[in-house]
Amino acid sequence: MSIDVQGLSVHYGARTVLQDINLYARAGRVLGIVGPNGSGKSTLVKAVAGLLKASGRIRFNGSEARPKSVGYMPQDLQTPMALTVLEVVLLGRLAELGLTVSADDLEAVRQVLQLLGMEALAGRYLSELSGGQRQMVFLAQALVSQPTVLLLDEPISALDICHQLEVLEVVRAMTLERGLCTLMVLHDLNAAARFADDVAMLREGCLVGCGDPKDVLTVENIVTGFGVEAEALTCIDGTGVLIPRRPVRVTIVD
Amino acid sequence: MHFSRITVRLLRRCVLVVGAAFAMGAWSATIEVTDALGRKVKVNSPVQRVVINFNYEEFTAVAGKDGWKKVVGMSRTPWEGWRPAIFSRYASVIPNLQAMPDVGHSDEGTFSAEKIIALKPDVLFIAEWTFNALKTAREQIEAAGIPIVVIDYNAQLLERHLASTRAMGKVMGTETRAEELASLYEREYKNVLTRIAKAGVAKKKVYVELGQAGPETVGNSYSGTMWGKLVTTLGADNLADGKLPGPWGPINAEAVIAENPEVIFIAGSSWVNKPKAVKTGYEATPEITRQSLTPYAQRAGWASLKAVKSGEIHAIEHGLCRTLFDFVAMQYIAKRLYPDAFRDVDPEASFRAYHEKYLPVAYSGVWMLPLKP
Amino acid sequence: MTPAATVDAVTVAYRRSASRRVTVMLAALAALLLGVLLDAATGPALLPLAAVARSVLGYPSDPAVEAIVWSIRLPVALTAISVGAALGLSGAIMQTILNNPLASSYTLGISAGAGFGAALVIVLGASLPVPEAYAIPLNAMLFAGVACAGVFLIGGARAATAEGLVLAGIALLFLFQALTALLQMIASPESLQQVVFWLFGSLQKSTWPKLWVLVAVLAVCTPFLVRDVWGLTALKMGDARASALGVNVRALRFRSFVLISALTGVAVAFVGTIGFVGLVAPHVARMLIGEDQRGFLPVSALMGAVLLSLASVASKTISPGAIFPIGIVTSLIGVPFFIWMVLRTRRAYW
Repeated sequence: MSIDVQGLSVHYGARTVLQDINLYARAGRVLGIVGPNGSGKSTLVKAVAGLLKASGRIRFNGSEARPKSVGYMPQDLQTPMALTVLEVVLLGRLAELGLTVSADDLEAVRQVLQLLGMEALAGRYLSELSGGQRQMVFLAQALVSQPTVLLLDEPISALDICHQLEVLEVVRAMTLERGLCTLMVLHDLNAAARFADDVAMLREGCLVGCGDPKDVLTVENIVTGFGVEAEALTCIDGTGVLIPRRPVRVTIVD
Repeated sequence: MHFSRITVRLLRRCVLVVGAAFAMGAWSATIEVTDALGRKVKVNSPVQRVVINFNYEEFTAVAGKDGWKKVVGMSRTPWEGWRPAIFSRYASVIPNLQAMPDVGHSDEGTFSAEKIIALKPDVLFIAEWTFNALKTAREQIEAAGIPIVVIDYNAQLLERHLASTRAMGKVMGTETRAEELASLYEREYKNVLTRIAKAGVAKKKVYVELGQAGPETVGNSYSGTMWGKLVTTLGADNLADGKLPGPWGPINAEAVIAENPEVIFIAGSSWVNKPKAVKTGYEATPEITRQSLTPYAQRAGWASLKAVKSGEIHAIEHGLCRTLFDFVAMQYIAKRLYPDAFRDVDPEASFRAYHEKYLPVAYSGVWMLPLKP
Repeated sequence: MTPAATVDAVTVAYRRSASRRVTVMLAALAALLLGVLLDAATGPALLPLAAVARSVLGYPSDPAVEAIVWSIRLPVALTAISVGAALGLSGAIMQTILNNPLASSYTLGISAGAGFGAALVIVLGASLPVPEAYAIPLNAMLFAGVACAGVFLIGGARAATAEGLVLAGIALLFLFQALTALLQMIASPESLQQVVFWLFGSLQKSTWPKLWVLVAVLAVCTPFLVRDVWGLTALKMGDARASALGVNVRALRFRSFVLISALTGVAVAFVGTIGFVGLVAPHVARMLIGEDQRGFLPVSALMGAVLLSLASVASKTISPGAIFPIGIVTSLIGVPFFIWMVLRTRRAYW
């Protein structure tokens, strides 16, 4: 599944949130979406998920018809709910569920939980799990309906570094294994650099750059995109790391 | 000898049995009664078990003291609660009254169809206001096969007074007495109206207030019912008319002063635990009544009222209205409105006579009194 | 982890939740039956239990006992469980779609709207051209619908977020309470009595025809709820996730509001405003069975029925021979229970 976005614009009333976005996401690759707050990252992902009214064209594998199974994982707003892991993942198959749960439904849940190594948690209430485990459950929910597209909105923002790595590794592995087309919104630039195959940087609703992480996540782009001076370092194993230094000095002109 | 005694005993028993059989057969008849609302109700006569919820003095007058032997349930609040001193006087002469089972009072939401049905009465006497307030309960009672006879003295309408009285008499088997009372009431009622017609005096403005809570609180006035209806029937202007959202309620104190009534009646009674109330009743004396009435005359702004200046402020027993002897109250009020036309009428004497003839308690005390002796 | 062990975990979890659902529902039904029997056995006439039992089981009995049991007590007992179920159910739906543990028809002005509708008829005699016996209930249902519409329109004006709807509900609660107080002020003392008793709630006007109407409304609402059972569960995860799973959140909320308005309207119409049942029943259900709506909704209904049934029994036994207003009983039971629930935060359910 590939996603071709052309001329995508989204308006909230008079405000333009996304302006003429063009990008192309390939199957089996993770596209990281980065940018400062309010740049329209979540909006972009929601538009691709079909949850917002947008002008422009989004083609899935060349056709305008949205595929039935799009796995969308919104930001975790910590909504309280007295549901078990099993029930939450089961809801991922909402479209197919009747009044009773069929053996097929259970099997699908079983498989995805196995995949993520979480079978033992099936009967636990969500409120009993750690943040990372919660995110994994929602990831399982997104995956249970065998999607071809995976849209993740800040999946790791609330997690500690261990759980962050866990989730990112799973996402990357899934994408490769199943040939998914994954769009992932990230705040952490280094995570994007490490785990995304392509990166798109947004600023104030416009696309500043899209392509290989090394080409997009440059020091100059960080200055223009985020208004932050950064330093680029290279680790022993060759991976690049960006260290933010200080905000760009703004001179006030009288 | 032995043999004949046994025969006699046997014969006596047979006669008794046969006689009883005849008695039951002869007496168990269904009569049709027209109640105060014009409803035709079928009742099995004679009734052995009666439940009654209001107008107890009327019942006593019509059915006699012995009529109470057949009563198995009552609403205690409207008598024991509202007129405790009067209730205790009757309780001392009517044996089963003190412990009479309570079927509840509709105003308090305690009126219980269940309790009434469980008492298995042959008839239920019910006041019009209860009848209209409790549709579900009365349907349940009727569904259980208990005939309901509605009595209504509250409306202060001649026809309803007479119909209620006659209906009670017919059901209780005391028709002669009931007819006597009905004729008495009709005669006195019409007498009052005839005299008024001849008097041809200008309408006076009358203000009636329930004097239960003391002069600091404005008590209820009445419009179109009870005192209000009486006052307008007697050809006077009822101050409360047009000022009340419903049939009764308190009027704004300012409105009373602005209207400047010419005659004022404060309705009192023998309530318990109402220290500031106007006191009337069996135990009242003129001094006690006047003492309780004076603070009302001293209300702010009342000294300037025509009624107070001319001494036309009176205490009158609240329990006199909506009864079979309210013609006594009518006579008293009429006397104040048309002094010349009623010079020879003595309301106290009328009331005393009524007591002697129809009620088991003796007349005493003060029931209607002007503030100025 | 061997495949055999992993299969067990999911199946075990599933079987456990399914069997729990069944157990809880059976227990609730048993409690319900007990409640109905107790309700039929208590009352101002203080009939002996044996006599009542004989009559209920169909043995020939004293006609007075028959009349009391069949035309007074049984309608009351069955109305108690029907109204309790309607209130519990509408409270459950409301708490789900508004994501708020304090949401119920009572706290969000729907019952207050119905109460105002009733007061209009009682005080002003203003009503639709229908036979007098139905004027109050119909007007109450009408205004319950108005209140629901108000909550939906005001709260959903910008975006139908849960917070917006709750605030709109609270505003309407105050509005209708103020309007009812205004009516009370201008009411004559007799009308006032009626209004007040209506506002306290009373089961004593229950009759068989009214009961059939209640049951009919419950029956009609059920298939609609069954259809939306998974959508409502999804809604528990937040609007965004629910939309992502394909639920039309706005339409679901609208449908739910129509159901709530029907259930609340019919309940309030016949027995007046009875509070706390719609608030407490869903919380008990949540404690027992979680928020999978397949279990949550029916158990909320059952808990509401049990609660009101027990309240009815309590209202008859507090002062033997008299009947204590049931709205007061439910408040007296509901408030301490609610406080107890808030204090025991063993699991954060909300």
